[in-house]
Amino acid sequence: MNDALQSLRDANPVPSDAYEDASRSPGGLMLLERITATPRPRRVGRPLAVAGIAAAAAAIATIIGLQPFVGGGGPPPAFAVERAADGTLTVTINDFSGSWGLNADLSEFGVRAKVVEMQQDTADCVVDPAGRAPLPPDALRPVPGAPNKISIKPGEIGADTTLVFGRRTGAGTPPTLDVIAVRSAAKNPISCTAASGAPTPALTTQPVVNPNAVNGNGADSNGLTPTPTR
Amino acid sequence: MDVEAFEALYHTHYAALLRYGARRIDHDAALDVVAETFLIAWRRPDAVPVDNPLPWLYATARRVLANHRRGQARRDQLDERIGATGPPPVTADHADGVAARTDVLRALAALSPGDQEVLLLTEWDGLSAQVAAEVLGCSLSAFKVRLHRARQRLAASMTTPRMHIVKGQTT
Repeated sequence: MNDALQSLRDANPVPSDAYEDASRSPGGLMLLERITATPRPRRVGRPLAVAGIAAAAAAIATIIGLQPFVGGGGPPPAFAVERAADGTLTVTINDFSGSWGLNADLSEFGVRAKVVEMQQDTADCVVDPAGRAPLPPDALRPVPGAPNKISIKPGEIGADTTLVFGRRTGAGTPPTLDVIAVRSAAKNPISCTAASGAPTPALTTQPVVNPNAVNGNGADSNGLTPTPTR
Repeated sequence: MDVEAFEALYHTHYAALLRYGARRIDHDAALDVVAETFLIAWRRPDAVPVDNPLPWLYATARRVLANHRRGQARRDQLDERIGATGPPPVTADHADGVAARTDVLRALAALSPGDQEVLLLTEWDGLSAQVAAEVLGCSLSAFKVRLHRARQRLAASMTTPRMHIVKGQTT
């Protein structure tokens, strides 16, 4: 058994003293600077009660991200994730540009997400049937009266699914949250109509880039890349 | 945790987390795992044990890594397991060393993910049994049992005769 363990140790691909100075390399310092420049979520110590009879009994939501905006002083938080007692998540997005951290928060609950800033009405975008991820009807549900919220059941969303959060705009109406489920492995699952009327090969959006991404520009592997916008 | 304390945390443990990631996935992806792990630490400072943050950091990196892997396309099972537990291909080494390394990685890949994890945390990452148990969220005694059994299974896997295909037949 000792021989096997020694062979395993010898096969270690990364020496124990590797990367000792990496945190102080230009890339490491840049990452540190970006992280510490990131606003920290305001955390509250009390649960948020959800309206309704069931809420009174059990559905006490715990604020995971930022506190949802309920008026009062200060700007609304960029986003919030609330988890109810039954595991259902309610995502609120008030500012897409500050919502890149949503990916990390949702990943804590096993939901793979990609937040993008739609540069055009998502109604103009189509999802490749091969790229669309099938979901049970109750996996994603809008929240009545709250166009910037969506209800998610993490247990209903497969591991090979990515949720793309976009913004649907309309003339004279406030933008609403639009969530599209795509297969994580699909290439260019979403295409949008360009100004010329011709379809673009990839999603014409600007991802809300994780400022801490040290590898590339924050693009995902499934074609949700920051292609030039109109 | 203020900025100064976070910077100290970052510089103290960055290398260890990067090694952890690079031993399991490619270097670029490992950088992203490290970035995501420290981002979570920054955003949730109350969750990071000030006096002993290492197990929490490893445990968080482990979850981030698991999420990363979930998004990857499925590959051939053997290739996937070797890729998940092993490094990029060896480019310069003695032939015997390469063969031995291939054998042990193959034996490792034949083990369950749970066995692989306890072995790598101790034999590659150099964690103590106590810290590794905290990373995996189990008791020290339970971890020791798991480690002992994993070591036995690795040894048994390495002594299992390999099958060679000769003219379409297995021998």
